Amino acid sequence: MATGPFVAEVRTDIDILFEGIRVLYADFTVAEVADFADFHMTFGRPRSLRRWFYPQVCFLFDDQSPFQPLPLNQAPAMFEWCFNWCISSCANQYLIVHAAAVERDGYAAILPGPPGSGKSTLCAALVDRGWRLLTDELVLVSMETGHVIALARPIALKNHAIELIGSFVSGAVFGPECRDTLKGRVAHLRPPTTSVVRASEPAKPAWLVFPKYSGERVAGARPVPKGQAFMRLAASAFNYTLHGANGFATLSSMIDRMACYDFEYSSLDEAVDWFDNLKRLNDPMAGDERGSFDS
Amino acid sequence: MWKSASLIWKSWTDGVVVYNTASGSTHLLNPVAAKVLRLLEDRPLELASITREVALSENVAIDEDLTEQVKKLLSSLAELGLVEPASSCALPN
Repeated sequence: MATGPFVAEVRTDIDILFEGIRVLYADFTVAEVADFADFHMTFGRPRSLRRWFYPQVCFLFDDQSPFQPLPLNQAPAMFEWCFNWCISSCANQYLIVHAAAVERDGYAAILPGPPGSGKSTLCAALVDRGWRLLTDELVLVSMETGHVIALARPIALKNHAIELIGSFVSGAVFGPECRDTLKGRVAHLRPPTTSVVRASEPAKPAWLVFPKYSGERVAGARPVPKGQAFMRLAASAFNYTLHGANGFATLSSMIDRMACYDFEYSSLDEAVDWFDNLKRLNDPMAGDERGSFDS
Repeated sequence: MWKSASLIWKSWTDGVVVYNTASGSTHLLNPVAAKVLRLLEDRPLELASITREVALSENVAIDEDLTEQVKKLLSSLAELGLVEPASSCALPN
């Protein structure tokens, strides 16, 4: 199947995984036989008693097994995690940031955040209210253009966020729910068809927003100084050090272009309203603060 | 005598970051650290000269306390690999 710039060959005989892919990737281009694939992934049962007793699922990448098996009923979640691992391990032609990203009018809002910050939940809400999904987990930045490349894969939600988005998003379609994972209950939300169809369209980074769900407080945002924003974005980039001086230059240019905020919210409606006003707060067409860059 | 490492700078009105080309590390600098590194990029300097420049830019008196603070700053920058002694003698003077 084609997801953004990648083609993945996926082999499995596990029904729950096949069903999950059928539901969540319904709008993606799927071929019977891949002529060329960036990743070769196989999900199958172990050749041991664990094939039948407390059954497990194993992952093979190019016929190598990089991870321990998981319970069979976690196969759909394992597929998404392993797909993320393939991209973050192999796609070093991009600068890869652990963040969600959404797009409007050609401009991207990048949302870095640790697990539990609510970035995927917020991403799912924004995507339902007019923003295009670029990614919920891995932001790929072109080293040539500095643009964000879309993946538009299913959005991972955990625990109570599953019910929250299920009621927030009209007609939400989820893949199989996986229980008792290390992250608790996990289910993936099918991405909007429009986001999948437009996955070949990159976006210019315009806003960097560090989200934090904070219970009962009213939504509010504080500008983040550019130097601090740079360091926090670098800390979220898996392969920043791998790119050396080019990574420094790419991140510098991104920070030049982006208005940077810490954003706290307690309701998704509040958060959506604030994001809808982002362009008014800081119009990317008005020009960026190009810091000086010298050696 | 102190000198700076080979650095790539990126400055905004509200912050400065540097990339150390030798170590590959990146650092966010406060204004005084940025001032000192800029000085040492131009040419190696003795502690007394650095202290004098800091006193001028910060509009403070040169005294033992300031000298000690600059000495500590240089030690911190040295630990980060951003400065190093410019001669074989490793002790600051």
